[in-house]
Amino acid sequence: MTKRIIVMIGVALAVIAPGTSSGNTELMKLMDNPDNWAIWGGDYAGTRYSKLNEINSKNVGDLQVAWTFSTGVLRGHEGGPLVVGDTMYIMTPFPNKVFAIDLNDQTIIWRYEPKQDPDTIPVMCCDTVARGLAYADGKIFLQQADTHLVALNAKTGKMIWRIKNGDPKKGSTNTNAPVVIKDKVLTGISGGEFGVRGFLAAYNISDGSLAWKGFSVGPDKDTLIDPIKTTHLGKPVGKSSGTNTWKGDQWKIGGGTTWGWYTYDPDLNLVYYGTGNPSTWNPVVRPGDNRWSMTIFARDLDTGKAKWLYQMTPHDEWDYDGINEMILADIKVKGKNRKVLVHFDRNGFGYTLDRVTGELLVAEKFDPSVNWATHVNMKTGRPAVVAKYSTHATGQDTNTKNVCPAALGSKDQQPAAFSPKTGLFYVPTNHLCMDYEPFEVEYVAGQPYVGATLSMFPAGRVTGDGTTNLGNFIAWDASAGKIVWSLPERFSVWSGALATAGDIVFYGTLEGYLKAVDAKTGKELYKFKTPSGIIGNVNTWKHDGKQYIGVLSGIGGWAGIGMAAGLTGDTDGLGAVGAYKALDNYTQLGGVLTVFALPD
Amino acid sequence: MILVATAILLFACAADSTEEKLSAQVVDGAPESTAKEKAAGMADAGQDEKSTDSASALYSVECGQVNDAGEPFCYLDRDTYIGWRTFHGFCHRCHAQDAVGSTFAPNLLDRIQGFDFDAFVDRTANGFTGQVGVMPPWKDNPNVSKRYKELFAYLKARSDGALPRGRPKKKP
Ligand code: HEC
Repeated sequence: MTKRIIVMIGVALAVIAPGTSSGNTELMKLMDNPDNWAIWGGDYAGTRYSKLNEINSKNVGDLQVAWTFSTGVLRGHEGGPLVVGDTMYIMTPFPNKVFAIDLNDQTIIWRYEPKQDPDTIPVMCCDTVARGLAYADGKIFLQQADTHLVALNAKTGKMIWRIKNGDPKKGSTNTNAPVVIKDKVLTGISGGEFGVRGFLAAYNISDGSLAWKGFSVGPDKDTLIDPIKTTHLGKPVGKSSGTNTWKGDQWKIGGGTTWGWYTYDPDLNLVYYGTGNPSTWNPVVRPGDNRWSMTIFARDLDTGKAKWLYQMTPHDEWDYDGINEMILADIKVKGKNRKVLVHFDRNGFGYTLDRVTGELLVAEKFDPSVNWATHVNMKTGRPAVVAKYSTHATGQDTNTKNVCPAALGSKDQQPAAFSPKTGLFYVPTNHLCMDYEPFEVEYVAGQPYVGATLSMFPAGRVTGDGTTNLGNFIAWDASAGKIVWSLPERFSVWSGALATAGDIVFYGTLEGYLKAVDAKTGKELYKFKTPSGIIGNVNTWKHDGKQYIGVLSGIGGWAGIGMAAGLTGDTDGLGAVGAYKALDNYTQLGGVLTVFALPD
Repeated sequence: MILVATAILLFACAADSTEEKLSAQVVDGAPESTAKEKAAGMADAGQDEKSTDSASALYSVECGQVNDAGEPFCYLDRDTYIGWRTFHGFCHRCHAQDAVGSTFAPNLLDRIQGFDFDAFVDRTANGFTGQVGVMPPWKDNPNVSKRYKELFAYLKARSDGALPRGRPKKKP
C-alpha cells in the first residue's frame, strides 16, 4: 500500500515541475527506495547495488525459488525487469513484448506486443536481444528493435506516442535500454557492422519530439563538440575533431554506435556512455585515429554538448567497442577522494577517470591474458600496441594470431556492479583470444560491412597455463587497478552482476546457474540451475516486506557464438576435450524469469 | 600423413538452372533495380564457372599439416579458401565459426548435405524465414553474391567431413 502512495506522489511532482530539478524527480524518488528496481542499473550511477540486506551472506544458502514466469520467447534474454511499486515490467527479445505483472498475485495486468518489420531481424548483429525498459512520468519507455521508441501508459499499456529513431533498411537497429533523465528519454543506435553512424538522442518524454542528437563522428555541428570547450584529457579538441582523423568522407559510414548503457550524475548534469567500433573491421582501409569511435563521452544533459571525451582505442584494429557501462562512484584514488567513472572496456583495460574533468587516473588490465597492448600511456592516454598483434601492421589478407582478448572483448555489455560497502567492483568477464584477418569489402547500404575473419578460442591456448575456462567473475580494486579475487567459469560470464548490502554478489552463468558469492572473499554461498543459460542481469526488490532476487534466463546473444568458439574439439590441441562439451549439453533456448526468496 | 580430398561437380548445368530460377523470380515482381543487379551477379557467376570448365574439383583439401607452433592445419585450394574467408566474414556471426551453428542459426553441416548448388544459391541469395529464424538475403551484397561458388565449396568440404574445424591455409 505505502508503495502505491509513493508512486502517486511522485507522479504529481513530476507533473508540476517537469525538468526543473536534476534528474527526474519521480524516478529519483523511486530509485532512492531500494524496494523498487526502477532503472536498469538500480540508480543513475549504474552501480547495480541494493541497500536491501534481508538476504545476506549468512542466510543466502537457504534461498528458494518463489515463482517463475515464461516469456514465451526463445531468443537471447539480456537485461532484466523493472520493479516499480507493486508492478513488474518485463521486456522480451524480438518481437519485444512487454508484460506488466502484478506482484501481489503474479497475474498479467497488461501486455503489449508491437508489430515489427521482420526484416529487422537479419540486420541485427548477434541475435535479436533487447536490454530492457525505462520508467518515468507514469510511462514505460520501450525501445523496439526496429528503432521505434514507444511511450506506453504504465497503468494500461496503451500507446501514448511513438517515434522512429533510425532506418533498419540501412542497417540501423536498437538493442539498448533507454534512460529517462529530467524531461528527456535518451537512446542510442546499433548497426556498426552496417556502416551506421552512431549518435545519442534525447527525446522529450511528453511527446517524443527530438530535444538534441549528438553524433559520435562527423562535423562539429553534428557531434555537438565545441573545438575549445570540449576537452580530451584536459586539452581542447580543436576544430573538426570528428572528421579530421578519417580518410576523405569515410566518417559518413564511420560507426561509433551507442548500443550500451547510459549513466548520469545529477550534480554535474552530465550523461556518460561509450561509442563502438569504427565501421569495417578492416583497419587498413581506414587510416587515422577514427575519432570519436571507441570513446567515453560526457555530455551535458540539457544541451547534448560534449564536455569531455576520452578515446580508449584509437584506430581500432580488433573490434573492441567502447560501449560498456560507465559506473559512477566516489572513491579514494591515490589517497584522494575522487568523483570517478569506472569502465571495463572490451579492450581488456579497466579505466578509472575523474568524471568531472575527464582526467585519466588508472588504466590497468583486468584480465592478465590481455596482450594487444603492453600498457596505456597515462600522459597521452594511448595504448602501447604490440606490433605483432596489430592487425593493421600484419596487413590485409594476413592472419594476425593469438590476439587477446578476442573481439567479444574481455568483457562485453554485461554490466558490472559496485559495492560502496566493500569499495570493490564485481565484473563478469570473457577469457578468449583470437586470430584476426582483415580483408577488403565493398560498402552497400543496409549490408554488413565487416571485412575481417576471426576465429576465437580459450585464452589458455595463448597463455599456455593449461587453463580451459572461457570466463571469470572478478572483484576489482579501481583505485589500485588490481584484481582482488577471480573465479574461473567454464563459459564466458555474460550476465549482469548485482551487489547488495547483505555482503553478497550475484551473477548468472551460461550453463544457467544463478550464483551468490561472498562480496569480500568470492566464496560461493549458493547456486541454482535456472531453465536456460543466463545472459540477463540479476536484480532485487522488496514486496510486502520481503526481499526478492530475480533473473531472466534464456541463452542466446553473441554469447551463443562465443560459446561455440571454445568448442574447437579435435583441433584445439588442448587435450582437455572433456571440458568442451557443446553448450547444448548444458542448456536449451527459452526465456524464463526465476524469482528467489528466503523461506517464510 | 597428408590427406587429400576432392569432389566433382558439374557447374555448366548448375549455371543454367540458376539462371532460370532467378529470372522466374524477377517475374514474380522484384523491383527493376534488383533485377539488374541479379543479372550482373549472374554474369559474374557465369564467368567464374566458365573458367572452371564443365567439370572440375569443387574443393581440394590437404590435411595433416603442422605449423611452426606444432598445431595441425589443412591446406585449401584458392577458391575454397576464399569460401572459408567469406563465411567467416559474413556468415559466422549467426552460423558460428566453422559453420557449427549457434543459438540463433542452424549448424549448416548436416543441412548442406541435401543441397545442390542451385538450392544453395537460392537460399543464400534470397533468404527465407523458417522455424529457426530469419536467414537474410545476400543478393544485394557483392561481397557475398560474387562468392556463392566459393562458399558452397567450403561448406561442402566441411559437410563431407573433408575439412575439420579450425583455420585452414591457402595452398601456396
Ligand atoms: C542474421 C543471421 C544469419 C546470417 C548472417 C546468415 N544466416 Fe544463414 N540462416 C540463418 C537462419 C536463422 C537460418 C535458418 C532459417 C530457418 O530454417 O528457420 C539460416 C539458414 C541458412 C541456410 C539454409 C539451410 C536449410 O536447411 O535450409 C543456408 C544454406 C545458409 N543459411 C547459408 C548462409 C550463408 C552462406 C551465409 C553467409 C553469406 C549466411 N547463411 C548468413 C541466419 C543467418
